[in-house]
Amino acid sequence: MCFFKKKPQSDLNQQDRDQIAVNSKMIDVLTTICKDEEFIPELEKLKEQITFLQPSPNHKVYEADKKIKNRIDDLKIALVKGNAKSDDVSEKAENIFEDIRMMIAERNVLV
Amino acid sequence: MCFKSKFDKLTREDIVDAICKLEKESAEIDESIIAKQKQIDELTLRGRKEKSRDIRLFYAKKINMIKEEREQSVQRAMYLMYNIRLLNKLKKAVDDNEFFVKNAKVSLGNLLSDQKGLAKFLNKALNTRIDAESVLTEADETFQEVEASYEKNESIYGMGKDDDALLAVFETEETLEGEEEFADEANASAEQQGSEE
Repeated sequence: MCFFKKKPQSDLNQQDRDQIAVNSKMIDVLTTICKDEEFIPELEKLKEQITFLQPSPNHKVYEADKKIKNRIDDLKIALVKGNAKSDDVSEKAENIFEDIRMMIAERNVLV
Repeated sequence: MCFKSKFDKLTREDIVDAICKLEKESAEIDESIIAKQKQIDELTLRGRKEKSRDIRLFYAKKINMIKEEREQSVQRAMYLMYNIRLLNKLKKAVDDNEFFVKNAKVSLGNLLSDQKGLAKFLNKALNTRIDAESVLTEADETFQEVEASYEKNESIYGMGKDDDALLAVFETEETLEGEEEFADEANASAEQQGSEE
């Protein structure tokens, strides 16, 4: 028999804080992987935005952070592919950057 | 105790890492194919310029060997491309699964799945609308009834004896003015005829 207990607010807050930390570290990884100098300043800007996001015990905010992480993973694939220098991939990476910025803005509305 | 299948344990991160790894390998193989092709072109050029038969034979064997390696790399690149394509499909399936699981749990979505309750609610809304409209139409009918029962006050808006006498004077003056105008016109036309003769 399973008993479900509601997580306390502090745990939920910590969960979101951890997710933000993971996202921030992922950007560091991307900065190392990326060989295209055009994207390095954009990555640094993105890292700053993500690192200073306000954690929240709101479940929707946590879900938004998870979505941001998924998009960062897609960006990783685009940058790894882009190291072969293709215009299509550069455009794809730009689109993903734009998506992530929009997701961060929407996430901040929920907080 | 619940046992999760290997697909349930699979995380999006694992798939992404696998894709990145394969993309990297694919990029390396692409580079090696290009490098080999360059080598083949170079050796072919040298072989054409070379006069010694033995050295030409040597170049020929080397070119064939590099061609075989290039062919092997091409096969591997194709295999990797196919593998990456399948992993992308798997990633999409994981995203779809997460999307549908999340959206099905949304409370409004649950409300919509209750067809009976939804029909009841919609009927209630329709009846509310009909009631509100009938209030307005009844009010309009009441206005019309009240206005129809009203009779014009003849003392204020009707014609009295003195009014009748004045109206007769106005009509007479109007007739006289009309006759004067007619006479003036007749005189004017007669004078004109006289001057022409």
